[in-house]
Amino acid sequence: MSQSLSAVAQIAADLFGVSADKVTDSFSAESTDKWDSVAHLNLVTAVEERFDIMFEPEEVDEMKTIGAIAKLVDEKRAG
Amino acid sequence: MAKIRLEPFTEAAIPAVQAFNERMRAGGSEFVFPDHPYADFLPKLPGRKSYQDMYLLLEGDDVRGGFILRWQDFAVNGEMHRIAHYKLPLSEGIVNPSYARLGLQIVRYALRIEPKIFALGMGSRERALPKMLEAMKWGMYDVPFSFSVGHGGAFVRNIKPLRTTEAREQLFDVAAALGVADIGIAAVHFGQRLRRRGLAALDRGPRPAVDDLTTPFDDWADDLWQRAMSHYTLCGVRDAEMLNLLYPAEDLRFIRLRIQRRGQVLGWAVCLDTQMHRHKQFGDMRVATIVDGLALPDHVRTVVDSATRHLLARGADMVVSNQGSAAWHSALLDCGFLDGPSNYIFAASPKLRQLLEPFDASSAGFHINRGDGDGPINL
Repeated sequence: MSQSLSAVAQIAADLFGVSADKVTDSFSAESTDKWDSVAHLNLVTAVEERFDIMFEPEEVDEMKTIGAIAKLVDEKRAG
Repeated sequence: MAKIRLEPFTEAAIPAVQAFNERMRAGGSEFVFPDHPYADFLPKLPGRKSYQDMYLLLEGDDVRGGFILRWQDFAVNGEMHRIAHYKLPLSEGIVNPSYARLGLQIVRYALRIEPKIFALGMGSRERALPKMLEAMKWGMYDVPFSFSVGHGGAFVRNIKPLRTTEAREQLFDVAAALGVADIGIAAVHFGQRLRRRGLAALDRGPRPAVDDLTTPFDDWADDLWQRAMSHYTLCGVRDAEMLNLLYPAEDLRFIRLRIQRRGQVLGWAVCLDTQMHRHKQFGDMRVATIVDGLALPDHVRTVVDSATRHLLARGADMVVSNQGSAAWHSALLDCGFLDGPSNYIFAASPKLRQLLEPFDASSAGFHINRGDGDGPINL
């Protein structure tokens, strides 16, 4: 598990109230009832604050799983 | 799954919007998007200063969401700024969790088009949209809601939020039948005026003249706008051109009042007087609304008092108003109005909020009211 994936998974686990080991890279809105539009916003803004980055709306569109969010984090940090 | 893209709403997308609305209705959404791209309120016409643009979020040929920007010029601390009202952001995420990400996308697309935007209304802070905006560090301000009751009997027989149990309903009906409600509510308003002003008169000087205008707003409105705008930290342009666009003389729903004393214009108020039918809050009452208005702070009380008297004399059962600025809210309370729970929330995007800093302190000067919202609907 990459450093970004583990950090994003931990943020999601805290937000959705599930144990971190349940949050795999395929964890998505289908995995929990708690992943609604407000939770999605809270997840993305928490990730942005954690990594000091800002996602464009097109990037938000790709954020369908925790793995996809971590991949975007890695891409943004790589510049 | 195709990527989501943003496009202006054009005729070609009408069937896709209709299908989107069907899915929203089927999923239990209380909101749907306009099913045609021609705004009923403030359509985009050549030369118009204020108009609405509609945008769609498309996935392939399917509409997954949309929003509206109503463009308007605002005076912010006396300087003019182009600002947009962010209206009706709708996402399929409301009814289908696999589109939960769209809510955030919609806000970010809107901010890309115009960073200085605001949302208004929204129902309550507990709803998804204000929660999202607050989490995105938008400046949040509850625009006060105030009301004054003219006919106590009609009020207690109809006001739904107070008629919550059978026992209360019976009590209110008896109070209405005996005339106690009229006396009781008149006493409450009198008490409010006494608390606010003591025995001091609301106004000095002769009673002002109230003109119920049938002609368009004119130079006098421009003159008042020029004199009044710098007294508010945030105020949508209310010159004659804008007023005639928002409240045209030919629209007979609007009661357009000019208040003058000795030939000097003190201010204006635009009002509605609506017979409600089985309204979820007002039942079958005749409810008048002070929708909008403008005056120098020293004259606001006179304008509010004159407009309220005018509306009650027409036969309204009650008068309501949402007024954001301290000058207008105070004037309402001085005139005996009471505050009720507000569902009218003003949310300023981070860039707009920056212009308004210190936000909490400057909120006393936000001259925000129903005139800045969706137009004369639900009133």
